[in-house]
Amino acid sequence: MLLEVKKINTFYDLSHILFNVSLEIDKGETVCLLGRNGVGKTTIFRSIMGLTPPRSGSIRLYGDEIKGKKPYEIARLGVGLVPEDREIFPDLTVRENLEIAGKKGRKEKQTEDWTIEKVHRLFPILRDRNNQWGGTLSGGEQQMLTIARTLMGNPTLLLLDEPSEGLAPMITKTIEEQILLLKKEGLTILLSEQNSSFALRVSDRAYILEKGHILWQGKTSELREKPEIMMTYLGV
Amino acid sequence: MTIEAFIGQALSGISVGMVLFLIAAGLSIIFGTLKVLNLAHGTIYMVGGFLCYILTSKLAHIPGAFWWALLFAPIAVALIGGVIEVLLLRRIYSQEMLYQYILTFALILILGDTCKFFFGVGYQTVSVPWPVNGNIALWGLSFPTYNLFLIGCGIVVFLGLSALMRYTSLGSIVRAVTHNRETANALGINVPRVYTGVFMLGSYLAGLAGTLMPPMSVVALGSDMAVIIECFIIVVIGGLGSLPGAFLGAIILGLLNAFGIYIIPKLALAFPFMLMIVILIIRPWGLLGKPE
Repeated sequence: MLLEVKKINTFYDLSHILFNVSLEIDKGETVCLLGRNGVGKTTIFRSIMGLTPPRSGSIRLYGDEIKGKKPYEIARLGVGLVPEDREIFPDLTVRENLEIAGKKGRKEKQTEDWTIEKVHRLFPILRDRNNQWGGTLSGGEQQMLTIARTLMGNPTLLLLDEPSEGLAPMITKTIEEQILLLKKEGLTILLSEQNSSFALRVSDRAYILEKGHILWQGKTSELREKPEIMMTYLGV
Repeated sequence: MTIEAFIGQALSGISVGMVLFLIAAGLSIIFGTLKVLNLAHGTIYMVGGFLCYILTSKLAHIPGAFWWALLFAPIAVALIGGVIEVLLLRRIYSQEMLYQYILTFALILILGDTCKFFFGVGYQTVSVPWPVNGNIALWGLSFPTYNLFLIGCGIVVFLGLSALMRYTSLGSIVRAVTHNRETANALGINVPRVYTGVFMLGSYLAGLAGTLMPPMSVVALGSDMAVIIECFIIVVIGGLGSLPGAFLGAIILGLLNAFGIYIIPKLALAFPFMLMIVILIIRPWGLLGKPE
């Protein structure tokens, strides 16, 4: 098991957000978290990344406990977060945004390390924007830069928080193709989405969340065959 | 006012401004990255002054004692800054702003009284070191060499710092952490270490200013408060967080001080505050700062 989250409870100050959330991701899998706005998808990512550590439960990466470690330590262990609000550094150039995130990957990772050149092959637009300030990019370019920036840290587990949010359909399509390419490369991906059709196309398994609880889990093929599950839990 | 007096006054104003720039730059960098308004920054500068005095007097038998002090005193001040950041400041980042003010105000008292304990309440002087003592003749006029030396130091530090922030990977990391520490942290950047480094850099600059100032002034208790207020004025004029802004603000304040006392001596003390008020009304983010 690459990532094993067991019965975590996470709070923002006094408000209890995640209730005994457990999930598992195997190496090479693409798993999605489905749920409406505010059900705790982002909090799951923040818990794994150590930005909002859970009060109880355990999070294991390759069998080692990472709960309680600092975010930069977790990042160096091979977890890469692509935050929902992108958080491009506006007063760094596109290239500098990529360079500051550069790290060596763990030994388990068998693919070729990410470099600026490799990132440019996946996102050619970033090559043209190389010396532009991060703050001048369009929404779609920012989303690509955020993914590329996280890839520069050579993660074995990529956490994608609502990658299609706020993007035009055409750009969403491009991002989808790029995610599929990453998947093909063997990267393990956990992503969250409100746009379920997007998520169902790219993922192998899904967890459905409601108010901080996991209500359903299973293969995405099952969700595609039985749309009533989606009706019941997501109202779509 | 003769031409000679006018240029002499301008040079002395700018040279004091350059020393203030070093302090204000440190204050501004620390605030930008750590989001801590270090009230004790002036006191850290004063510690640099006392270290300069003690080193130059203890090493008086060695030629070039001042230059050794210039090398070591700022490093010592940076180390003191590192200890303060790791042992004290680090504990209060997640607390309310108020705790920062209480803590850094406490540091003013603690560091100030420590200086009083070791050096007493008198004035200490440091003589102007060779080879920047004496006067230099320019365009038929004569100027104190040390003033020109200070201006040179200010310009070199300004250009060096700007290049460091703009062109090195260290500078990119500091800019990233300044913008969003959480994202930087999640990208694998050791943010606590960056904080310590930036606080030490800011303290180093204060220590450098503290070492450069004594030959043209005196080392005395209370100089910290005078300086910190002037630095606040400089960063308000120039824009908090802007290095060129601090440089410009320091030159303006230096000139204002130098000529204010010539023109209307009774109002000299009030001019900087009046300028600050005008800036706050017409351009609250400072001359070269960015609006929020």
